[in-house]
Amino acid sequence: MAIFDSTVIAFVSYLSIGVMSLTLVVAVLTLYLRLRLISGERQRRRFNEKWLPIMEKGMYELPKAVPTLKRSELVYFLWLWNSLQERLKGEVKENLNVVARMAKVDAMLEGLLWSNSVNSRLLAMNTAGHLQALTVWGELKNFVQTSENPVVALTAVRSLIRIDSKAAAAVFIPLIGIHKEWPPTQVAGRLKEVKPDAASAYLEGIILAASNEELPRLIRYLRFASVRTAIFVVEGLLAKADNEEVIAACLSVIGEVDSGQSLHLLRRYADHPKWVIKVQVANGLSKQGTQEDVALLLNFLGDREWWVRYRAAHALGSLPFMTLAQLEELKRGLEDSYAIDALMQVIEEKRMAV
Amino acid sequence: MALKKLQAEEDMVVIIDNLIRQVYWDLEAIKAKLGCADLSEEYIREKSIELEYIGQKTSKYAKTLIKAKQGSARRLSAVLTGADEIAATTLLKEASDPTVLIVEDDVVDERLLVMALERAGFSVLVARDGREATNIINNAKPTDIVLVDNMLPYVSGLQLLKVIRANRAWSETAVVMLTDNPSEREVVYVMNNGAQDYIEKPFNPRELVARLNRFVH
Repeated sequence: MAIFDSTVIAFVSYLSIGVMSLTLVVAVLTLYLRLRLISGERQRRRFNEKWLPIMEKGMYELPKAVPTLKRSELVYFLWLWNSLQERLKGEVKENLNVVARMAKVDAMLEGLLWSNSVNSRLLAMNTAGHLQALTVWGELKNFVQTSENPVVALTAVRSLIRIDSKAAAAVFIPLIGIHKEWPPTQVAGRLKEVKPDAASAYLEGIILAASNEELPRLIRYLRFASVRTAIFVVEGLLAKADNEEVIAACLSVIGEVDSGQSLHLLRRYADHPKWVIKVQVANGLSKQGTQEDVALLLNFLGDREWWVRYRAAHALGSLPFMTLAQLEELKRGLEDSYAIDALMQVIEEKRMAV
Repeated sequence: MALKKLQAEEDMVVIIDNLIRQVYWDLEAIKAKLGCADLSEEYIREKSIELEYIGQKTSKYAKTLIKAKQGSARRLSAVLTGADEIAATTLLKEASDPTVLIVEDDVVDERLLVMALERAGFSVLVARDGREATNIINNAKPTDIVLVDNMLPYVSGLQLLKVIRANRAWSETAVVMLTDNPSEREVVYVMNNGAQDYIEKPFNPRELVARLNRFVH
């Protein structure tokens, strides 16, 4: 019993010492991290107090000289400088570029591009784009082509676009077909930054080379091509398409590019049995529809699928010639309670807007 | 708009002194709070850092007043909170420059807007959210222009637009919306609801000034 007791006591003692040591280590570590954070924040604040007025003044009047930028201050500089660049347009951005070059940021950029920290690398890429640093074009292109991280690849794409959008289109658009993991909204954001004429041929190329499974995803990017290319490609696809997803994607492009010349294509699919296609028809008609499409949209209001009714009601409300009084009149002529509900929502929204 | 033309910086100093004494706070109370009752008024005004202790409500504005007094006081920028609003617009009305109320919650955007407009000769007043702006609109004299960010905490830019348009005193004030990547529908909506113009973010300071100048010259 006595032996048991002493073993237990020894065990508890060691355990207590262990727990106390661990607590002490955690406490010291927490304190260290906290102090490091505070010191970093203080350093950043001091840096901003010194450099923000220089940058702000430099936006309007170029300084004759700027303070020496230490390598340890580079990241602080880039955070501050990029936050200004992202919020501005026009000549002031050029002046900020001059301030950055005076601080020799361009010379330090290449090193930061290969930093182990992804954050620093992204910061360097973004800076290269704003600075239009052609000297790092090769590195940025390499990130686009080889990075497995979509954020890194698409940040590099944006910088390439800022440096030379036409050449950037040639680098990244052919890769859209391959990189399914690139988030569609971000890809769309990048395509929006490229001029339609520069993007058209490459978009047409990836769509013509795409497999049937890939087509619906890629067709939707056609809205960033020139209207002529988009309509030409979509008409060609619709002529031979029997896949509902491909047809819906084509009709969504027709609705988006808003050419008015392809109204006959939208109307042609109004009787399609699949609701996904009718939704796209309603969407397209909301922008391009004429007086003769009102009957078609009223018919959609009675569809069994909620999405078709909802989109048709909004399409009716969006027709440029449709007044609130006319919508009320249309509602009075309806008998289907679902159709009335759908139209009532739009009428109320329109009434609130007025 | 009949604004009193200030002849010199001294005029502004007098106005500020009067406002400090009469409108904003009791100087004796400040001294007591600071525990420095024997200090001169001049010392208290110059040491803006001590005024931090007075409390959030007045410190920012106090600093601005002091800055305005020490520096070029012709263009007064007032960062406002709470009770300072009405007095600040009164002060702005004493200035000869056209006045703008900026309603913007992003601190960096606010700083850039203030800088661009002050450089162009506007007197600038800032509200950090829709509630603060509503308070100014309901209680203060109107400014020449209101520049409203569409995305605001508490009260959205569009709601604020309606508040301005519903207030008769502010009926002649031009409202310019600041919008991030606006859709055609949004632009039509804000223009139909009484905005005079809209400016897209990111913004070009020169374009901003040129657009706002149309409403004051």
